[in-house]
Amino acid sequence: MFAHRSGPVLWATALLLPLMAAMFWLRQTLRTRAGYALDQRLFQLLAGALQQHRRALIRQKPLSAWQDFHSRHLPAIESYLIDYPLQRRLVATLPLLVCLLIFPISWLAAVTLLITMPLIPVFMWLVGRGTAALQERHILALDRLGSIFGDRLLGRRTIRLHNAASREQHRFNAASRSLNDKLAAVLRVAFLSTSVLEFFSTLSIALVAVFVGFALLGEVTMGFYGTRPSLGEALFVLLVAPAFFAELKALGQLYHRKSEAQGALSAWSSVLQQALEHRPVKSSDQQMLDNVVFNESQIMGFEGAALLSVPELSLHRGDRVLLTGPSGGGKTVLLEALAGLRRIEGSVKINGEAVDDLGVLRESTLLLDQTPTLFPGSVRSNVGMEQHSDADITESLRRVGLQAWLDQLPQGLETKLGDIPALSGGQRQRLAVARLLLFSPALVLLDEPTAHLSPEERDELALLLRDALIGKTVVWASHDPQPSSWFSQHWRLDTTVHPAAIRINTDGSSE
Amino acid sequence: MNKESRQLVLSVGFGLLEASSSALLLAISVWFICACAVAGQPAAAPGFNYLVPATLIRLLAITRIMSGYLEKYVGHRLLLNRLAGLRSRLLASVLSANEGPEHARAAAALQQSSEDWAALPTSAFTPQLSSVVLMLGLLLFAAVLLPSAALPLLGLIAVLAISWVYFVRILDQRLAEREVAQAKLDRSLEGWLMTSDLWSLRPDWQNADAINTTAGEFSYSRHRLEDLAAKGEAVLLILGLFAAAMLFAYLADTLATPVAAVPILLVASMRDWLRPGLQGTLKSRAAVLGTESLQRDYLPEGLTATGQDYSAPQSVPVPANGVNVLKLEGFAWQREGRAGPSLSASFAGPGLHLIVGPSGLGKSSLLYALSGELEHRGHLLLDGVEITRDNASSNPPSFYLAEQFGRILSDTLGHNLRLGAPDASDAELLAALDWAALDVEHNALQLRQWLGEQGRPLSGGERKRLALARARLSDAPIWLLDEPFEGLDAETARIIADRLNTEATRRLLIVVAHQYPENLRPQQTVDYGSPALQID
Repeated sequence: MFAHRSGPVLWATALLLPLMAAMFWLRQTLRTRAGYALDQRLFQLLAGALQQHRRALIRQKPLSAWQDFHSRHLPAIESYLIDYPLQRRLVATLPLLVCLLIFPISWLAAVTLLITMPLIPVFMWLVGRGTAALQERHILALDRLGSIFGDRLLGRRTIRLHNAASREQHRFNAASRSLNDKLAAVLRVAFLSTSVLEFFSTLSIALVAVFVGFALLGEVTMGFYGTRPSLGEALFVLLVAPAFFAELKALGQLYHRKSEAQGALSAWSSVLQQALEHRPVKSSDQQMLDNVVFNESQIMGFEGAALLSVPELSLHRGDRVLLTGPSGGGKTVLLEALAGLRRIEGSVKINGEAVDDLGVLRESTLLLDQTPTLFPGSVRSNVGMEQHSDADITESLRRVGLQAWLDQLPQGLETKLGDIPALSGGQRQRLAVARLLLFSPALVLLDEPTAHLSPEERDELALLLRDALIGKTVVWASHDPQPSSWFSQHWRLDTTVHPAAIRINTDGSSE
Repeated sequence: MNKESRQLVLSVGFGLLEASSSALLLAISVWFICACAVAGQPAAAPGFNYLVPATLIRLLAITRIMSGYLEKYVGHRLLLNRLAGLRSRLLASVLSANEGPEHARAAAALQQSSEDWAALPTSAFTPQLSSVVLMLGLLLFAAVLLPSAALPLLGLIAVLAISWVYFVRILDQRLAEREVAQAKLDRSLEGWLMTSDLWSLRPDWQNADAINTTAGEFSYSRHRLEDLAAKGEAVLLILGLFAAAMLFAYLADTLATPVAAVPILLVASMRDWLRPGLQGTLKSRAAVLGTESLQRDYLPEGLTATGQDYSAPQSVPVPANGVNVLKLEGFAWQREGRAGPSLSASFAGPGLHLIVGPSGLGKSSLLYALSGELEHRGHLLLDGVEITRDNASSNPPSFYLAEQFGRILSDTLGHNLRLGAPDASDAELLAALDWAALDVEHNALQLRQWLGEQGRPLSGGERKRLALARARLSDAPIWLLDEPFEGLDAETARIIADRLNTEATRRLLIVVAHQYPENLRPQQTVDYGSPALQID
């Protein structure tokens, strides 16, 4: 039956297989490169946005959300932006190619396939119309149950403290059971829609096989061009027909990730947008701060709305500004804007020159808040940041009253911060002040640095700061009473208007 | 046979049925066409019964569709059951050991690995088994009907088996590489973000080159893994076509029966029926990585062992008419080899006692140790009865601890309030909210409001007051309050202080606070950080 046909087959194998392998290798290499490049680019955008807005942006999301970007969202976005469009094109062209190949052998088989093609989406839509919503609800319910599970794991201490462990356990079990029972009914229908493709692709093989077989027998004559097809033609039709549906199936698999990727894209687009609008600060722009003048300006949030209005304020070199007002009202936002981390609309001038933000101040500003930034590492690197000599660091620690503490450290400046007994909140702040003194920034911003301290620690730190910051430009947000004689200006947050406004305090009192 | 193992058998059975019916469908179709071609020759002997195979083909098509549907359905039910069972055991283990994920990301990882494990039978086991069964079936077919093809097919299967072992070795390596790269990026990103205030001080932190490089390494390792999977499939395709051509050349000139076409075409389409097995291998190796840590950290007795529900520790000395005196003798909290300053003090009830001192020494830990959540050294005597960790959490509880950063569960306001008081009526909940000066519009609908991550966000002050309302509902004779005034405005803090003063006439209140309103009337103030305390 096959006699003397192996020659051409071997030739075709020898020529086509290496070509196929090469094409595949090329495609895969390009795909990986594209994915890698896209990843790099998006991550760079993210890092760029973070560099530009720093803490103002970072505190918009919990830490784990930033980590989710590379581990969960990037792969989904990548597949959506690269694989999905390609597969859509394949779906649009390959079935037609299959029809074109089959047409010269059997016009009936080609026409039948052509007719089933638009039927597939119609059928999927018909069956899926009811179930798509159900399935979405199923995924939602599963997600919610999953998040309750994670939530109870994290809330274990609160649950135990309320002796509620066994009740919460029963509650979770009951919720799982009832969800599973409800889902069983949904799934029964939902899988019908996914079976539609399977149904068509399977049936097409069966029908084509029987049809072609009968044609070979001579039982059927319609659909072919006069004569009976040869065996080769018949097998060709049988093998090529499934390819008609293969790309559609692949598209269906990618489609699952589409909504995930779209969600990820919309969640991150506002952040990534920040980096696209980024205007890098040229090093020649960095200059001495003489004065900053706000005039009818507004400080913008990341969602595009104004968070704070600044009708008229000016800050001159050597000013010491007290900033007061209700908590949560926007004092931190003003400090972030002064540190160059927020966009400003309206007029703002540095040394008389109009600017869009205070980005030029970004590298010459230091901020101290309630929780000083310390990192695992030696005392030396935490204070000196690898930029200052041991003598300078020791001198700075002495100035903030940590000499005695330093002397009793087992390895002196070499001691790792994690190895020593816990520092009290006051000591941690002193360490940060020592760093601040070493680096002597052009502008010092204090965001309630004494907030979480005991009364004694609070008074001691305030005294130390007032002592150490003489001669510097300082903006100090504070709830606690401060001696007004130390300050040259007093700004007040006015939350009676919307958005809240920062004004010069005129009533003379310090709070 | 329980429900789960019944579902397992059914799901694997339907899976095998689907895989074998689709392979058989192709095999019989090919044979049928070849047989028709032979029968259609003018010289052929008459009497070829084409109706039986034609019917069989249709039957197989129906079988395939049905079993495919049933496998999905049963498999999913199995997944859900396994997931519910595993999560229930995990929850019990975490609640009773009080050790679990520390942050949202670790909890999400646990969520994911439990899902991966639950999906193992459908995503990994069945497809891999099907691949093996189909290969053996092909071999058996050849041995019986086409002996001359048996040896080459055996050779092909040997090549596939060796390639598979090699593939798994590289796969494990790449999975581990990705794991390492991801952990490194997670760590560096966290470190980088936490120190953003200091970027301007160090040029190497300020520019993002380092973090971009680490992100690039992770992306590279992830792509290498995906690349491996894609190449595995390509090898199957090309190897299949090559083997089919060889088989054709080997069989064509010696045999001329329709049966000979079957193994050739099956081998040619090898990629299609082995691909699920390959993907199953990928899934199972990846799931194994996650399950190892799951088993090590949470379920040492195994993932399938029928665990018990959480059971409360034994109880309890509960003083009948309130507490007269709580006495601490050299009491110090202990955690992971660290200990707090030891404290000797006596708290007489009813009354309000204030603990002050520098931050950072573990005042919160002191309260956790008092409530039995942390180990302690020294003695804790409640009206002369020694309290240990075992009898500290009693029912009804003698202590109620309102944590400094208490967690609000993702649930309704009502459920959050009823956590410690499951039988409280709506009216009692509303009264407690009112007592805690929680300014929500009090009606039953509000109690059904969803809080937590996907619900209404609460401010720090609202959380504090919610914790106080919970304390009020718990009605424990001893309240331990950690920074109850933090985040409250002056007026609310004053109101709360008044309520606590009143409450102190009927129970023992121990309050840790670094700032408190002037109208708070402590009976005693203990300085927890004074040099007189011994730190050791």
